[in-house]
Amino acid sequence: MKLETMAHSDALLIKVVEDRIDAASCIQFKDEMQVATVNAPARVILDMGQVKFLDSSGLGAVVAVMKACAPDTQLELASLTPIVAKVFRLTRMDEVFAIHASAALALTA
Amino acid sequence: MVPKTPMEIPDLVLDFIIPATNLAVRRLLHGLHLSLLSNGVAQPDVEHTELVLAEVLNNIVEHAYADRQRGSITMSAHLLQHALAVELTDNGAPMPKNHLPVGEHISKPAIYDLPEGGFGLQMIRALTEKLDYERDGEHNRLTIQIPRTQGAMC
Repeated sequence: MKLETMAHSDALLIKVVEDRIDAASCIQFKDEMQVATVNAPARVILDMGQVKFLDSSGLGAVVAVMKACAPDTQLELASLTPIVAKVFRLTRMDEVFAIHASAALALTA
Repeated sequence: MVPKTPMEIPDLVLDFIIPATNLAVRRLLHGLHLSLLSNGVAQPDVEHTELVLAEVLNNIVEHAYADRQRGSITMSAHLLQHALAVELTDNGAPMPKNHLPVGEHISKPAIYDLPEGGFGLQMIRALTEKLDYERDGEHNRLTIQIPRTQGAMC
């Protein structure tokens, strides 16, 4: 599981450099996100533009990271591919997360 | 072990037998994804199929076989004009009370109460037009039909 982090003035941008977050990789994702978000600022933006597959295990891991970050840090999502966006819609988790069209737009939000 | 779809000759039949592990499931899904795309199934339909099958296969690995990393899963997929008909069998534990659980609808809960699981069945039910479960002796048999919504070959 490869994550690229980039610190901005008031937000931390984390890009998932993987094709999938699934049952085989969700624990690793959760662990590495936990490390990446230590002492994070008020906003963490997770760029998922490269993720072409997210199953319910992967979704559960994203939710777990969001809960672990709260309340001091808000986990927001950016650049969801169509099928990943659909997973959030079908489970109504799109109502729970702030979702941005792109990381650049998220940073100016 | 053929999905019950009389009258129609499938465009493609894919049979898999895999060990019940997360990595084997991932490899099966990858192969299925490529086969469906190269047989003219539209990208969104391929993605829905991959998602539904990921959920049912993960469920077998995690629940029927309780993550024991032993046992096998047999899958037979028939590509029809308007749907993909799939039959899955395993020798793991039966579903609770020999029935598919009812998918709970997750409403918008407070952040600390958000579930980290239970999303799978919601997605399976949303993306399938037929979903049947049967306990047959020592086997679980799941029959699923996933509709093709776009560009079905005529």
